[in-house]
Amino acid sequence: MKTLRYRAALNEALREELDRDPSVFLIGEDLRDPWGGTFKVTEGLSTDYGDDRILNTPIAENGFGGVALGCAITGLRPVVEYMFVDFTFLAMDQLMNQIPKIRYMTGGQVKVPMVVRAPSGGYRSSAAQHAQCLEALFTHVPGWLVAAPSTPADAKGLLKTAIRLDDPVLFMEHKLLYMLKGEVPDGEHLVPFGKADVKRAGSDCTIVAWSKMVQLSLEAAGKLAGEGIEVEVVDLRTLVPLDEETILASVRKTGRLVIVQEAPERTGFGAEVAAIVADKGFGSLKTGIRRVAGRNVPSPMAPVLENAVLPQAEWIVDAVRSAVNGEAV
Amino acid sequence: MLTTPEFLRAYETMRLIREFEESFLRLHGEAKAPAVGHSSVWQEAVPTGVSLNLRPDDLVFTTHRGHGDLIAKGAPVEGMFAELLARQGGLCRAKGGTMHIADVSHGVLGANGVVGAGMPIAAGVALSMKKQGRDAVVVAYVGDGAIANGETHETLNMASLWRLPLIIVRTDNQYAESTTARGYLGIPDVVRYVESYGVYAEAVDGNVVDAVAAAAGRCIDRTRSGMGPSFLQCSTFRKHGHNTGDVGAYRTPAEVEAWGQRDPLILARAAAVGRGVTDAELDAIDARVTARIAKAIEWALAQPDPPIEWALEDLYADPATLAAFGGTVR
Repeated sequence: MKTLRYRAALNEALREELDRDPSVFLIGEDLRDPWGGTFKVTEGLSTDYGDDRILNTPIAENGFGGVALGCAITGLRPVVEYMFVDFTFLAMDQLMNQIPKIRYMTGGQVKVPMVVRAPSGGYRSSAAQHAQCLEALFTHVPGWLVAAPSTPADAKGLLKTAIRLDDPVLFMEHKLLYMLKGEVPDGEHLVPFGKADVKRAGSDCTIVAWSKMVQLSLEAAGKLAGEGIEVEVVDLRTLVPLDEETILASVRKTGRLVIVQEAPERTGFGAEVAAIVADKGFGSLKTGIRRVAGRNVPSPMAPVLENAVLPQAEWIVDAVRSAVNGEAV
Repeated sequence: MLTTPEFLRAYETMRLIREFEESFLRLHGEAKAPAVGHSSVWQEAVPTGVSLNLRPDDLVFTTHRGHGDLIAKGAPVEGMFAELLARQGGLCRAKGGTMHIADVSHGVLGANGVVGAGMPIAAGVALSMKKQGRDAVVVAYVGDGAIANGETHETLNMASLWRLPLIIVRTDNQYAESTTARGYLGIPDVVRYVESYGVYAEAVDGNVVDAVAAAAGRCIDRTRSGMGPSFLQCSTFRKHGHNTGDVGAYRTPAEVEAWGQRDPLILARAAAVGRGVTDAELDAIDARVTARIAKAIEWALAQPDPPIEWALEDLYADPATLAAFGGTVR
C-alpha cells in the first residue's frame, strides 16, 4: 500500500492504461504541460507520452465530444476531459443524442469504448456555472455507465476499469476530493463496476452516498458514533450499473435509510435509490426514507450562502437521528 | 473523365437510388414503412459522383436524407428495405430506421437524425485513421442548412487545425426544410465561407454526375494525399417535400418544373446517348434495376417482425456490463 492523493491516483491510472494499451489517448482542453489539465490530473503526461497521446483541443466541447466518439467507434479508446462537468451542457447533442445511442441505433454494429472525465461539485465558492453535480442527467439517458469514486483507491481502480470497458462511461470526479489522501493498493488495481462498497459498517441506519458525499457521511457517522448511533455507509461507486443488492442488504440489516446527494434534491439520483428501496425493501423499513440533498437552487458564491444550500455533516446527523428516533419525515 | 462503362455504372446507381426512394415513398404511403422519412429524388448524382472516387475502406457519414448516400457506397437495398419496413434482416435490426441507418460493413458509419451532428464524429473517424496510419478518407455528407450549425464551425476548425482526412460534401437542395440560404446565412457564398477556415473548397453542379465525380475526385485525392480536409458544395434540388408529410408549398411550381428539366437521370441519359450508348442499352439497365428493387421489396416484406427481445439488446457492448443489467449477452 502507498498513500496517494485522489488526483495522483487518477494520474497513475491514466499512466498505467497509456502504458498498457496504445489505443488509449487523452483528449480535452489544456491537458498538456505545463498546464496539465485544469485540476492537474494530466500533469506530466504530455511530457512523458507526447502530444499524439495527449491531444489538446479548441474550446469546442460538442465538437471534441463528437471527435472522441468517432475515434471510439473505429478502434481507439479516448479518455475525454471536460474541464468542468458544467461545460458538458455545451456538448449535449454529442453526449446525449450520439454517444450513448449510436450502438443501439445501429443494432450493435459499433462499440463505444470511451470515458468522459467530469470534474464536478461545489463547496468552492465557484457559483452557479462551475459547481454542479450532473450525474442524474447521465444516469437518466440509457447507454451511459456512471462512476463516482469517493477515495483515491476507488478513483484509480474505477478509472482503469472504465478505460477497459467497451461502453461509454461518465466518470464523475469531485473537485474537493482531488487533494484527499488515501491508501492505494500496489500493483494492478481494478475496481469492478456495479459493486458498492461498505465504507463503514453499522447496525442502526444505512446511509447511501457517492462521490464527496461519502466523505461527508463518514464525518457524520463519526459524530453519531459518539452518541451511540452506529451508521453503515454504503458507497455506491457506480450509479450505472447500480448495486441494488448491497443497498437492500444494508437496509434489511438497519431498517433505516438516509440518502445523501450533493445535487439539488428534485429528481436527483437519490430519488431513484429511494424508489428502489421503497419498491424492493419496503418490508425492511422501520421508518420513512430520508433524503439529504442540495436545495433546489443554483449554487450561490458567498460561502455562507453556499453552505446553506449544499449538504452539511450536521444535516446528515440530524436526518439519521430523526430516522433512529422514528420521527415523521 | 469517366469511361463509358464507369458512366453506365453511375447511371445504374442513380437509377437504383431513384427507384429505392420512390418505392420508399410508396411503402410509407401504404403504411408499410412506419417512420416519417426524407427522400432524395433528383439528388442522386451527388453521392453517385462522390462514391466513384471512394475505396471500400473509405468511410461515410450521412444525414436524415441519406438513402442514396448508402446505396452509392454499396449498402444492400435488401437490408435497407428491411430496415425501413421494420423487419428482421434490417441493417440495424430495425432499431435505427431511415434516419439512423448504418452499414458498417460497407463503410457507412451512419445516418444522423440531428442536423450537423455527423460532422464532428466524422472528423473523429478521420483523426482515428490518421492516428492509426491508415490512408482511408472520411466523407461527411451534410445538407445545406447544416452550414449554419455550430457543429459545422467546430468541425471545420478542428479538421483544418489537425489536417484531417475529411471531405465534407454539402448536398445543397436549396431548402433547409422551408428556408433558403438567404434566410439563414450572412455570407451565402459558402465556398468563401469555408475557405476562411483554411479548408479547400469547390462548388459543382450537383445534377451532373461526371462533374460531381471530377470535383469530388480532386477533393478526395488532395485529402488522401495528406493536404488536409476539403469541402464540396453541390447544388441540386429535391423533387419532393422535406419529408413524407410535406408537399413543399414554399416552392413555386415553376421552380420545381425548371429543376425537373434538369433531373440528373434525364441529363445522364442524354449524356450517355451522346457517348453513343443506345436507348435500348439504357432501357435494359432500367429494367434490371426495376427487377432488383421489386425482388428486394418482396424479400423484405417476407421477413418477420423483429423479436421483442431485440428491444433490450445492443445497448451495451461489454458482456459483464450487460450481465449487471440482467440483459442478454449477444
